[in-house]
Amino acid sequence: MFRLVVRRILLMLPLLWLIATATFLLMRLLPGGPFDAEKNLPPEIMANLKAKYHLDRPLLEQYGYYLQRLVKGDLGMSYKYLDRSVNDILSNAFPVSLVLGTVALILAISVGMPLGVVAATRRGTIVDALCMAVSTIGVSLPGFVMGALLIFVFGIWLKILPVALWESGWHIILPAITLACGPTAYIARLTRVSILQVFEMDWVRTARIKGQSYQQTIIKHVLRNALIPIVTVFGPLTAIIITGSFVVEYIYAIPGMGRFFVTAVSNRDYDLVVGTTLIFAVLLIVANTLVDIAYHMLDPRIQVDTL
Amino acid sequence: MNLESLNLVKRSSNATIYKMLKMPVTTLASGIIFLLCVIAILSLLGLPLTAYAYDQTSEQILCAPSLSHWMGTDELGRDLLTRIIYGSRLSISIGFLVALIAFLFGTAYGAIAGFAGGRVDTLLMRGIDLAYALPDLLVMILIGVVVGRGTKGILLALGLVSWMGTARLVRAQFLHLKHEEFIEAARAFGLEPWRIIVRHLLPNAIGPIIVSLTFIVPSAILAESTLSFIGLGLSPPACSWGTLASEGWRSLRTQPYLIFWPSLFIFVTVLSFNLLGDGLADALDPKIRK
Repeated sequence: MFRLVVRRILLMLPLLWLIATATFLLMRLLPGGPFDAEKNLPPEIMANLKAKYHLDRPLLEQYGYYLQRLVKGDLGMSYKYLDRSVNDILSNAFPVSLVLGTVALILAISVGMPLGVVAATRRGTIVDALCMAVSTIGVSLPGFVMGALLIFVFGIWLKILPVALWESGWHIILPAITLACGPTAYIARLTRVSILQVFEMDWVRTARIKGQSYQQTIIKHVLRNALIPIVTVFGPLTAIIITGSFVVEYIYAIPGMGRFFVTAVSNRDYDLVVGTTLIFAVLLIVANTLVDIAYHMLDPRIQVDTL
Repeated sequence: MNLESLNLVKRSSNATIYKMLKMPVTTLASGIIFLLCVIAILSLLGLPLTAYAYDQTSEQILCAPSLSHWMGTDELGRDLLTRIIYGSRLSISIGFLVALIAFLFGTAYGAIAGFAGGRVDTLLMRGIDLAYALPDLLVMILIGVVVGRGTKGILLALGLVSWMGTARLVRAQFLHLKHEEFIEAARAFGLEPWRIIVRHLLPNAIGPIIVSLTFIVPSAILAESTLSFIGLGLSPPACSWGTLASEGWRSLRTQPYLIFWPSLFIFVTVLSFNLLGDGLADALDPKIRK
């Protein structure tokens, strides 16, 4: 177990380096620089600005500076929000996104799982069909449509919830529901399939032959085993939540990582784009590592490969 | 006590309701897709389906839906229904083109990896694993920054990301089929590898490939509209459902119909493709989804 954790952490480093390098190259290869919007700058000031951010140096040298900074944990300076470092921006934005993401995830699990269980235990009935219809709709509804709908109904029409910004506990409700919509549908489908697979197992029949009641079999045997594979989707779920946050934080004007990423991309704010991407990558790798470890703990029969 | 009664699910009621609902739903979904495709093709051919041109401005700005403008007009007095029909050509063709890229490139890549096996396979698949480490939309946005945000740029960004799932699927199918007896027979016959791939392996793997492509179309439409909505995809004068929704978003408070109609088209299209995909998957292998 300890070896697994250590090996996973060591594997993270080359992966992060690859992602850091790829993002750096992507950002530098593109036409147009971060100061292109300021049209009327005198050439001297332009030169000074570029010199300050090492943009006048050869690419390889820029890459050297970049790696040096990264090793020190310094993600660089924002080119747009002057006097703010990327570390400063992200340390403010990260907790916001973390809270929103966690609430959405909890919401998605607490709605999606029961939905899946109900659908599976009433397989083939109208209840099952309804649960699956809800989840197909959830998968097909784009985040911005759900967001606009909720804002319109609860914010503009009924006027009972705030339409945007990040101020009180009330402000979290609509964005969290919007963000949870896709993951809920995803979890519901997965839970259903997973339970149906366990139903087929011989030991489930054995439990029934033994004289155990239907409810007991479901709770003691089926659910316990069916929920193990669901742990593995924590990785993909993190990815869904991250990409969902781009839209949700944009439409609700929430000062989180997703919104900074989107605005940084349109501002060509290189360091901020790279910094945000790296944080997202770390999050995803950590989530996947946790999944592997949890999976191993829940079902020791599974041999986790070395990547 | 018979074994059937020990089962946790009563089989008698099982398939009936599902089957009863499934067929018409899948048929309806295919009907809607067909209709949307016809509209998109007619619009591509330049046939006028409404009384207005897509860029025809008028005095009647921001009109609510009425008899002359079924879905209302925008801030330049352009008819929204006309613009949605015009936008369908971009939105729907992006969906199909991305699926085509995924099919051509993903199948070739997966076929080579699965057929060759060994080191080639490991090398090719590790490349995909790496790209899979980051979420699709994030990679699309980063690629979009480099290749530009025009129609071609977005198509390239979506295409570059979407083929990987198909490649994985094709590889898995090939690995599984490769050891079947009929392939051994083909080898023993002395057929060249490419002929075995095209004539024997691919036709046997085509079912799951088609199902996966059916799911790529809606996710491409969804990705394009989401990117356009947050301002990182297409932008006016390009006209897709995503840009229309993005324009409508600004006047959600005063003219909610401007975002409602494009959103409805996106939703119905994506939903129809997802339902069709589910139906196809069922028809192909009833065991997959019990």
